[in-house]
Amino acid sequence: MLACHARILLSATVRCGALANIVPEALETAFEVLKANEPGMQTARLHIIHETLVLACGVCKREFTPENGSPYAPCPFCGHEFFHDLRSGRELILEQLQVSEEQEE
Amino acid sequence: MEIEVGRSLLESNDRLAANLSANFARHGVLVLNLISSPGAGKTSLLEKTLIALAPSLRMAVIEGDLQTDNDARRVAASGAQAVQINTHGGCHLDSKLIMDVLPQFDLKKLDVLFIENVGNLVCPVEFNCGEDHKIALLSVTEGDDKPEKYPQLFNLASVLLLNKTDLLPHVDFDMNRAVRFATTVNRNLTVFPVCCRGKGKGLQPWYDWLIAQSAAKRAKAGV
Repeated sequence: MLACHARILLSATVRCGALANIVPEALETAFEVLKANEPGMQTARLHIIHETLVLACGVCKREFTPENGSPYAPCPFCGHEFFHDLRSGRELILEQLQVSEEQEE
Repeated sequence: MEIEVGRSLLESNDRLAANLSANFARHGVLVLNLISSPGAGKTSLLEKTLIALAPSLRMAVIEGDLQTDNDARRVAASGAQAVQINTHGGCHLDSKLIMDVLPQFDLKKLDVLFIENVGNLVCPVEFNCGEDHKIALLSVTEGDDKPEKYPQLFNLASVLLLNKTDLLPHVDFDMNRAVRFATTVNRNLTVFPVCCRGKGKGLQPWYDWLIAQSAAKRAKAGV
């Protein structure tokens, strides 16, 4: 078991899906507000990885990323417009933290 | 030093939601999370439902609002237990808020628990409250483009109630368009056009759905 006694956060990486209901600018603003109240976060940076929308056609089952980012886009393979399944795009994941370590064991 | 985390930012809520869900499942309580814009008719739907199904189901309500207990008092007039949560500016309910008020309910004496979420088509969708189903409510006065603009709710809801159908002659609302976009992102969506004013209209299929869902939940729990 790795125990990290970090005191300083250097960066946080968050992965946001296109349909995660997240406004990146709002997330960045919230991060800045949080930083102001946390001594160990003063120089921390927020990295946002944007996850594109991936749909699977309800008819031909092939996966595609709509060019316009809309879940209502027709399937580019068979043209079908309805009932696509969402394969990815709703993620809101804290992927990585970069910290300066004071002690490790 | 880099620490790979790879965990959902909503994980703590999801964990509490799983605990709530297990508790509801043990007691055979069907839990429905009602989500809509402000003024779409969630409270009116509950008033009608609580009165109509009182002889068949034991029901209670958790009311979520930014301020006031107006809605809790409205639904409590039906005789059902109603507990108000004021979020004081928060735009949604989450599992922690539900967990905090749950001791006020006797789950052994309940068949259905409604969670009337804060009026908002966006944030309540992201926070699971341990419910069996999200129920979307859309009134015809809001416009038929809402499923297109807010696909997440319609993607995750089990039922869409299209409310205020008595106003259809007076508004430019294309029922086919709204249903088409809602079902495009959710092929399993069940749609009930209803009116909750006066004597109500079109509500029987909704009542039948509720009774069937509750019976299935109770049967699964063996209660």
